[in-house]
Amino acid sequence: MEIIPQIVVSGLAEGSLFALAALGIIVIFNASQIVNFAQGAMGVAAAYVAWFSLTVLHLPFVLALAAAITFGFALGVSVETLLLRRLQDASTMTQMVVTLGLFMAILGAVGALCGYNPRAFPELWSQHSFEFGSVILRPQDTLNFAILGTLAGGLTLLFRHTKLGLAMRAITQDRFAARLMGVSLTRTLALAWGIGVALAGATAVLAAPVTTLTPGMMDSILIYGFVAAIVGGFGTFSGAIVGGLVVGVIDNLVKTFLAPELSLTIVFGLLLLVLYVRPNGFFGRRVAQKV
Amino acid sequence: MVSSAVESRRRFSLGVVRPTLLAPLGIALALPLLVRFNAYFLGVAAEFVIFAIVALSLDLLMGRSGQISLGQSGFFAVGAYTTAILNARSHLDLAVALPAAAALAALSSLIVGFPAERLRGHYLGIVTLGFGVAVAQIALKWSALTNGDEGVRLETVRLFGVDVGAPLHMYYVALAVLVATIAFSFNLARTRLGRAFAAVRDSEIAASAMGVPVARTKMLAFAISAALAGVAGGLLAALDGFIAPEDFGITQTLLFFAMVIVGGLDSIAGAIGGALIVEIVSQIAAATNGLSLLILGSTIVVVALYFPSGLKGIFARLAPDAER
Repeated sequence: MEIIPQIVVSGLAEGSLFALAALGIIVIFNASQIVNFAQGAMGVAAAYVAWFSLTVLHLPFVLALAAAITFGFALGVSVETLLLRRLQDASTMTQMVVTLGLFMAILGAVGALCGYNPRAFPELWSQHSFEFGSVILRPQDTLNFAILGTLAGGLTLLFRHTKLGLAMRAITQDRFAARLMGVSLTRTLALAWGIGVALAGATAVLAAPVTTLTPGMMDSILIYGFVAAIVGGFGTFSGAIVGGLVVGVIDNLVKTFLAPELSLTIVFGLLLLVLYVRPNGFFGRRVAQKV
Repeated sequence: MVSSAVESRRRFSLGVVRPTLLAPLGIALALPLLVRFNAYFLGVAAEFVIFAIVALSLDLLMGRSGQISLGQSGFFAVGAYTTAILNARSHLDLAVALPAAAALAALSSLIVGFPAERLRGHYLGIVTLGFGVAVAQIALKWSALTNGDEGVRLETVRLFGVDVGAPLHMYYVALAVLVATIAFSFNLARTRLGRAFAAVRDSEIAASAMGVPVARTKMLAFAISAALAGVAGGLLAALDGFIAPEDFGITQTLLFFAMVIVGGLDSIAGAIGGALIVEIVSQIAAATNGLSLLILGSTIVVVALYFPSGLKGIFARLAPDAER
């Protein structure tokens, strides 16, 4: 049982990735009320940009991560401006269909350009491990915590203390009123998509050394991200982060003690249970349906 | 709406038997002659027929009942593995294995159909997507049952004791199932159940106010759709003689999804046309990995933006008088 602290810490490190994925999903959902199913594929595209920067251009890791985040941001802004803006009043089904079409198209484009063979992604952080008693923090884990902390902190500052953040919170609450107050809906939506996809890019870059770089590398991380977002109530940043970390720890416990291969299946089963018992997650509020 | 209510008083009809629809059936029956029994073309044609059955199953769920499924490849996989394992381990006839595939797939649909009572829209999309991925993972990792990534190789495929393993035979078997599915789907619209599906699709609140049991209706929609997809999966296993987990990934779910969206929801001809387009694009673009996904994904985006009702809508514009 003395390995439990280690499992929890490794789970938290893995969960940081799910938390980042969930944050990206939620930033986009809060602003546009659209669940972006292409989030994983878009992140993969950004990870290939980072891979190119690292192995072909030989840039340092920080610049490669910045390149991936910038690419993700540009991708998010352009997808929103060029495509999704036309669908603001469309049905949920149509919006979902478009993001799934993007999922396919981006996955196909990445596969056609870069191939389906897995590529080794360079180690991001070759410093030494930290040891706290019996718990070892691998360099990769430290990096995950550091990036989650930085990005989540940055997001919180952005949303609490800037006009842009205020605008984003305003359009989540009431689009019409926000526009009357002078919030530019188009600009705010485009920026929200940019930020959301940039987060997906960061997630994919952090995951790539472990999963190796393939077009399908984000498939299961996307599902974990969705689970984290749902467990966290699909709306608040703190919910998404707690949800991600909890899912990461549960996943690691299942991997160690139950069935290493079926962790995603078991976590998915837990999601069904959560949805059945508490359809609005543990941090969400119940919303009455108006006729 | 009024006319459908009057129509519904007729008894079960093979309403599909109309002159304009006899032509495609004739072509489908004569196809092996037209391709001179070329095994490659027959295999592709049989695969198309099987995918058309899946497209119809998905249309039943998405077009008729308004429920979203991004996990249709999961039901398809359950049916395929049931058939393959029953064949390889117990040497069972398709006449037993296919109904078993349908039953198990329908049973597995309860996993998503049960909570679906409380889920709609995006949440249902996420849950069904997770279901599809989970089934693929089980197929890959539960090696004791599924042989893991080595896949399952089928033995001689028999239907009522006759060896039907050849593409020619499987083509006709699949075609018979497709025709039965079309007849079922066509007649469903005039049954009490079909109208309950439409009511739930159009407004759950109104439906429940009219006395439609919403939860049970949704679960039934999932179960029927899954059973059809499961039979199709079993047919694919019998046709290919071999199945492996990579046949049932997210990509396959997305392709099924592309079929109904490109064809247009709530349309039998649309679903079949969509399956045909996806099969043609997949065959043409097969040389370059990813190309077919790129083409079909872009097509979906264009369809959703400019032709919200897919092929169905395009044909309706060309020939406004024709019914669906």
